[in-house]
Amino acid sequence: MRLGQLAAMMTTLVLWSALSSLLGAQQTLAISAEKIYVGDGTIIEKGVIIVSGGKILAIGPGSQIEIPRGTRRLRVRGSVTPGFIDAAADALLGASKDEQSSEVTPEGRAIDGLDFGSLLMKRLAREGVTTVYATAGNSAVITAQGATVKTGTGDVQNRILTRDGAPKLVLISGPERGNARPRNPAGISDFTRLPLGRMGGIFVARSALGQAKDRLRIAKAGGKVAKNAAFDVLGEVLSGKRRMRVLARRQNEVSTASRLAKEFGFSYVIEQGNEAYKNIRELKRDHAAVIYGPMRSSSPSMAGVSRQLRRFFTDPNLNKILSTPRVLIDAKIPTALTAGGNTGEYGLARQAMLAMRCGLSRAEALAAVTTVPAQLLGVQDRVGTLKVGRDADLIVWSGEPLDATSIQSHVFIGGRRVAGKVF
Amino acid sequence: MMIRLFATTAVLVLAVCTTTWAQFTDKVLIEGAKIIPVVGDVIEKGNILIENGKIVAVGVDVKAPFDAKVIDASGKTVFPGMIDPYTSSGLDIPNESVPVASFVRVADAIDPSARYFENALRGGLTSIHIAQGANAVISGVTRVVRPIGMMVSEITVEAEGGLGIVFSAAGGRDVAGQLATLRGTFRSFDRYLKRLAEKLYEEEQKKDGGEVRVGPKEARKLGAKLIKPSKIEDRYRNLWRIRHGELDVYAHCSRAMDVQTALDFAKAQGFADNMTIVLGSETFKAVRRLKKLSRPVILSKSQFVHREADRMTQEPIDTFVPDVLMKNGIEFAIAGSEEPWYEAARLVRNGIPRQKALEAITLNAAKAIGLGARLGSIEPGKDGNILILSGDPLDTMTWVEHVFIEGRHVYDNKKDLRLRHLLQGAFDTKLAADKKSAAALEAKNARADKEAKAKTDEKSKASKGDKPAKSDEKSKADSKPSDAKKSPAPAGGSKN
Amino acid sequence: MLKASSWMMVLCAIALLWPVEFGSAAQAGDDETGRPAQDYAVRARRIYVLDKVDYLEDAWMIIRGGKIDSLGTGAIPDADLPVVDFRGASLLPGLVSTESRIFVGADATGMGARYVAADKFNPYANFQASWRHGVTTARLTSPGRRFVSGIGSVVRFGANAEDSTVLVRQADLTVNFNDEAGRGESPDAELVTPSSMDVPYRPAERRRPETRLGRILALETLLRDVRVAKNQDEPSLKLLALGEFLESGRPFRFDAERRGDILQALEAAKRNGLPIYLAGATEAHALVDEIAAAKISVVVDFDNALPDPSFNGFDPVTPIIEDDRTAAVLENRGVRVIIGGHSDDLLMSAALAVKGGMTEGAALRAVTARPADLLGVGDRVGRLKAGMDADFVVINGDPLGTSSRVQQAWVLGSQAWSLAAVDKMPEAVVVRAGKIYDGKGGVYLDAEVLIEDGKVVAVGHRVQRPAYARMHDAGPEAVITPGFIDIHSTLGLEGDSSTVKSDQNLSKLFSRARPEFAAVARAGITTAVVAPGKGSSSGSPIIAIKTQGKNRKELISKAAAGVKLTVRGSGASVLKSLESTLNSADNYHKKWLKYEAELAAFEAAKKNGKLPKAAAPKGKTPPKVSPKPSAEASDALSGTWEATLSGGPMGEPMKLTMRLALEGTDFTGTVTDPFGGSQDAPITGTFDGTTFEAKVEPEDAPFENVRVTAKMTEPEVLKGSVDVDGIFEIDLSAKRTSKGKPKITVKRAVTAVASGPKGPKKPKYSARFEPFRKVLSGKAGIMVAATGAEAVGAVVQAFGKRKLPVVILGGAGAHEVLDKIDGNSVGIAIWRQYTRQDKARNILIPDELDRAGVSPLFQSNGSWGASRLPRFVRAAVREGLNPETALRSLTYDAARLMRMDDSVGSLSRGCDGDLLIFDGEPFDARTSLVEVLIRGKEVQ
Repeated sequence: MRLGQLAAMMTTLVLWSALSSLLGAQQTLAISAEKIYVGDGTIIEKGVIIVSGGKILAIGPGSQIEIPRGTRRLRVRGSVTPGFIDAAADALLGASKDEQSSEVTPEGRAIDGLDFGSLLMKRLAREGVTTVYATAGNSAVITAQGATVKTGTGDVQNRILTRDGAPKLVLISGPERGNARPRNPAGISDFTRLPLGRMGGIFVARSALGQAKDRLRIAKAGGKVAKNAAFDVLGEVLSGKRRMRVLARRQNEVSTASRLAKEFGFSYVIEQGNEAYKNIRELKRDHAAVIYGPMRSSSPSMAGVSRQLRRFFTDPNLNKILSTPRVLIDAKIPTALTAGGNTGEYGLARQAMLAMRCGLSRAEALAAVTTVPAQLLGVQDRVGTLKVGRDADLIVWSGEPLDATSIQSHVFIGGRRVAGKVF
Repeated sequence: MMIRLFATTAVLVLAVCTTTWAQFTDKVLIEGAKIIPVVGDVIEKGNILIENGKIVAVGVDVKAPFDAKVIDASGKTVFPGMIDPYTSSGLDIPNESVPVASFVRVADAIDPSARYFENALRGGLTSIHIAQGANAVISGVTRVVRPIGMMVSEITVEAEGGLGIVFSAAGGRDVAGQLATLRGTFRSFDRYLKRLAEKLYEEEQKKDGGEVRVGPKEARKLGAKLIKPSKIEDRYRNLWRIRHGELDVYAHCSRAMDVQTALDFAKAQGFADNMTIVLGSETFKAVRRLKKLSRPVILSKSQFVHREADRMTQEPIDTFVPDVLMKNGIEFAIAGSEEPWYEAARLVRNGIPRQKALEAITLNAAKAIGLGARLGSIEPGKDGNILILSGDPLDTMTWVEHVFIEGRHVYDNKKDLRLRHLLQGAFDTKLAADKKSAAALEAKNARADKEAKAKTDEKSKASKGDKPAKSDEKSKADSKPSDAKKSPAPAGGSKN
Repeated sequence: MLKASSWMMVLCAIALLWPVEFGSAAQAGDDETGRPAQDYAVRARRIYVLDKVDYLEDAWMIIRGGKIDSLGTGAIPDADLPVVDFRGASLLPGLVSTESRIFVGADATGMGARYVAADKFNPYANFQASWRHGVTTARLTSPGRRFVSGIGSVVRFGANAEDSTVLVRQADLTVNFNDEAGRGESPDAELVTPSSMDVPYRPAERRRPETRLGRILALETLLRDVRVAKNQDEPSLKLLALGEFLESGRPFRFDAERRGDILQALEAAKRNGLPIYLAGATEAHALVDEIAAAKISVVVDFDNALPDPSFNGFDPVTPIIEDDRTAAVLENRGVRVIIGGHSDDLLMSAALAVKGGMTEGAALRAVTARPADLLGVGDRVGRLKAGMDADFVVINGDPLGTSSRVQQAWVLGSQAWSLAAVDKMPEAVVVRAGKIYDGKGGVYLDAEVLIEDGKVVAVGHRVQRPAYARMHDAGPEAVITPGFIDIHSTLGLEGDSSTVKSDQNLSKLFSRARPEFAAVARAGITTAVVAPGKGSSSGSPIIAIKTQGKNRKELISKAAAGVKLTVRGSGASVLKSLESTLNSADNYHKKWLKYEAELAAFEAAKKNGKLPKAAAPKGKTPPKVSPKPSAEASDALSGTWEATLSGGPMGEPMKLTMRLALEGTDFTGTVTDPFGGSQDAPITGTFDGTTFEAKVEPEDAPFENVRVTAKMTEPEVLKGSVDVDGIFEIDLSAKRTSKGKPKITVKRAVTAVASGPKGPKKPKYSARFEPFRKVLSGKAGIMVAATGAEAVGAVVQAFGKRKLPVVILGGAGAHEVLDKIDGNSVGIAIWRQYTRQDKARNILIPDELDRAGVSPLFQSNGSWGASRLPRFVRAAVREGLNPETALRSLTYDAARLMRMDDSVGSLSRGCDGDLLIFDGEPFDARTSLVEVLIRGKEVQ
């Protein structure tokens, strides 16, 4: 239609996306889409969301919502979902994530090592992961507390949701790597760091938790206890004020976590949990939650039969099964998905698509990357679902969300459009 | 316990495909499916007849000959077998230590029992072109195989594909060093040919008693005609064969500048029309030079996006390479993926039309390796490589249910033990739900039948009063449960 | 003929876009090789031909199809060619570098002559590092650290991949006589294939030759092996390649820095009869005789780069003594000296050579023509001669000046690079002249003025010279004055003297593509205050415009320049009407001031939360939209209108339907989305019976504000225009088809919105008095057209009371009330009446005013007429007007009285860069106006 050519000619003059992201902050924006996935399972057909000042002003079917005069309109043919949440993004701290000064550093805070302006933050935001829980590294037995922050750009202050997350008990074979006694010719070892093996690791954990338990008992009985930040944090975990994060992959690591939890009486959340499907009974009894992932698109391919047998026992990924999320959800265990902070083909959107392909329904897959992680991180009043008064973090999809043929066409964080294109 | 589980899986997988690959003379008819032939338009509900491994007829009214095995694929989608035009998976070590290895054959390094082939078959790949890596100057002879079978001879589709020639910097050499080595190899090959021609001519003369009466130059010219591949030394034979079109050439161009170098070199050495170019992401800048090629170009899935800083303003810009190729009318095939349907979906969501994306993983991939006449679409005369999918090929929830290679039923995902292990419990709830909904459906139908019968009773009482036949009602009830199960996944996972 | 400046922009746009574009669809209209097909001419102050003569002064060069067609001085022969004018810059042939390290490959390969540098040339790379120094052609080096280290090739750094080609594939073979050739040990095991038990790998050889002594031996054995190898049946590829190079007859490049090495190199060349040229040659100054005798070219290296951060400053055993005089000494002995070396900044090296004693011409040839000849491309590049490729660089000023920079690089006729585009440098020009009047009475002798981004930055004897600044030397006898101001004209309104209401936004109505703009600008008028011809007593808006500008935005100097009133009749009636207008304007102004104060207080309170708690709105759900019964509308606007859009960029007219509902003077409604949107776009605005002003917000469309201004000339019909973002104007005509109020009314606020406590109420907007607010707050001027002593007296009295500066247009009879006029706040703009008869004397009015301390001003009150204003003022000076006053009246006084002296009227810091260049005193009859600059850009 010739007016179309006029419009096309003008589009070369002024870029719409640049303008809307510029104006997004001050003005109200009304997004109308074929389907709006609220996040708690309900879907609004032909709905409208009105966003202003970074918050959701009104949401509902188009017929009931009145668009106030002067709002910018954005009509979309696809669908809208809440922004995704990656509850165990350990790639964010980059090089500075492995603190090896001591085996037990729960008083440390991942937020102090977090680079808010990194390229990874921008790329995560562009792909729809609007909130991440940045965890510390895995080279100590009990590592620092994570932090829940908003991705994308913008000043740091209003991007932090929580500063002091849960400390992390690392039960995989990470901490002992590199601690072996250095075989220098003189035979003298100038520096040997515990633990040297899995038993050593659990010994360190048990002694730290034991000390914290004793300090609690003394304090409760009115005795004086010297100030120690590390044990104060562990004390809060033991007294139930905080939940412990446990990085466990194999079946024995998950059951160790359950044993420790029963012995010291703390509630925990499993991170990664490759073989969590084998510990259903323990997880149900402990009312634990699992942040599962990153999954792989097909079973791990190995070259050569001979090598296959040798690696059978050592490769933790080998006996992962693809239907773990389905099995966990069937057992009523709260399950969130994580991509470990990766992006692109290994990002959170692909993990959710894979989970959907291997047994979850679309609503369950969406919940596993929006509402469930929001509850686990304790930020469900701000993010995770599209409700009036909540943060305006949302993804506009070109088709059905998590379909292989639909793409995140717009991403909004706090009502502002995230610049850049996803391929 | 785990070892037992693994052992059983391996044994069962072996069981499925031990039938030797003798010429399969059986006739197969795949009936009632939605056919996406890639060439021509979609047939909503049609049949495919395969005889002696070749597709004989495709269409709505294709009838099954009396001795054909009929496979009911109603409600399913049928798609041609997907093709990976260029990968070094399946080899134990992808690269040679020597820069020029034209005398090497990939066949000697293929390990048919590698897990890669199992994943490829599960992903819907029916033909894979295996080649050496790009860390050489000239790499060995490639081979097109099918992902089923235990011996290399058994899995071969096309014994000899072509040589890989790398035109970009590789193996520690800079691009000038690389091209100098390449030119040096062909120059010493030319010199070798001249001397061989002279020797052959002399032998020819001596054979029938005469002696050489002409000068060396003349002898060389006359002797040239006597050269046959069998007479050429191992080191150079394949170079002779690419010049005479007996072998293809796969030119690796990772930088934009390499494209023109490759085209000029191919024209000079005479293998321009049996050359396929394997593109790096930066080559979209040289898209103008790719226009007049005889075969589609090959683009690996890792080369879809090119990231760089703008020349003048230094701002980072990303370019989606397939989009540039499509806009300039250049046919391309996608390589390097065990699940090609996902790469096609990725193309579609970034703006490539659906037909072009489907062609990139079937027809164009076949043309890129010179087998366009035999593979890549469901057309009479082509190999019977057919996939039966649970839904649309680009849909997230679609699984490959059955695979036919040259008419043989080689894969059934219900018998895929590793998949059942990986997806154990994944579809129980769905299956239970399906069963529940099927039961409800059946109850409703039963009620409807009862009312209909009641009405016919009154009518018949009013008119004739004979008894309705009871048997048909029961038979209808039986047939329903089997159709109702629409779920794509194998029945009942084994729980451990 | 297209104005040259706009053509240059078009050309630059195409050329500049070209390198950024990535090989996708070629630009329309160019030939297969992708070069723009247009031919054009360039003109510059000095073109360095560097052929028979060094340079041509104030010359032109015609370029056809990327090649130089012809050169010359004076007028360009081919008149209809577009001209790219580089004004004060000098053009130099593209520099030729003999040692470009842009593609540093492997550092040491054992390949010898098999290694050809051209193989590593990437035409898609970014050549900015070379363009920045003016290098457009370069010899790519082969890796250095071997005795025979590889073949160098000559390439061209083109504006795009098509133009970047290899000119000479085998230019020279490098033989390294320096110590580094022997240093280091890299085992060079050449793998023999196929290696097997019986054909072992050959063990790594130590690199020969290690010492200086061994080098001559090595070279001779190498040359002997080559001769022997010819008739071997399986010679090594290296020797074969070396043999081919020898047959090509191209020179060897002997790299030798120390005295001893140079001697040995010369010796080796003589003994084996090899054609060579010497490179590095740092200590050549000690061997001048030997080198002269050898009759070879020498590439001399200069150390001029910034310190290399990675250089750890080790000093070799015996330091190599560098001496800038080497080049000059060799040149004087007849040796062909070429300036090269690692750093690409060849112009700096050339300058150092001149310091060492070389002539400028020779130094410049040593970085352009001579290296081109040496490398075998002398017939295509290196000089600016007919038939050669159009590779040239643009330098702002003297090429060898240390602070002059390469501004642009053009290769094969298209612009490859420009400093301004790359580093987004502002447009800057330094204008120098014998005398500069700054407009406020200040005079500078032999002075300069720096204009950056259209604004004056500095005026004085010498101003700072930024790298990107363009030099414009007007000559010692030139005189510079600020641009003239025409205080009252109708430029651009093209006789549309219909009365214009004060609420009309004048900036929309005037059209700029009129020929008279150029004439007025060339006459020296740079700023014109434009007011509608027939003034109205209630006041009409005036606007200040420039007389040259690319688009509408650039033309507007001050959008709301003030108000023009016209008063007639007796003194008393004039006074009454003025007083009433000014009083109501005052009240309106005060109301707004009060409102703004309250608003500020309200905002402050709201920020620190001391607001009274507003009642929380009841949380009822938003009411459903109830359609209003369609009542017969009584007013002239409500109802549905059929509108057609045509003209402007539209192809053919397009139909729209508008549904409007009028409440008081505001109306709301919907209009079918003019830009292809699927749903109707809301339209809101005001309608006071005749003028219809509206804003359309099309949904999801690519521009910001779409304004509709129309007039209801007769009932039921609206005629006007739609303005899109100030970029397009489309004509609109609409007819009302049905009267009924539209069915759906768009509700105002969403009840779900928590409405905060109410701020102060906004006073009612009055389009008529809005411009007066700026006048009363001193930000805009006011002019009153009054003739006759009584009227003038009344005006003076009315404005005197309010201490408001005013410009009286016409002002006939003012001489009777001269004593009552306060000089510095009243100006009288004389129109046609320059003299008046007083009994027998003929009095010059401007002179009379000047003597009475009243500033005389000059107005054209026309459009073409403005171009003759300077001539009238000169005639006044002839009649005795003081030239100082004349200048001030056309510049600073006019600006001051119209409250525009912050941007025009003087050459002080921050003002617009409008200036005139005369070749003598401005108002002297023999003087002519040479040049006019508006915002730093020359008027063509």
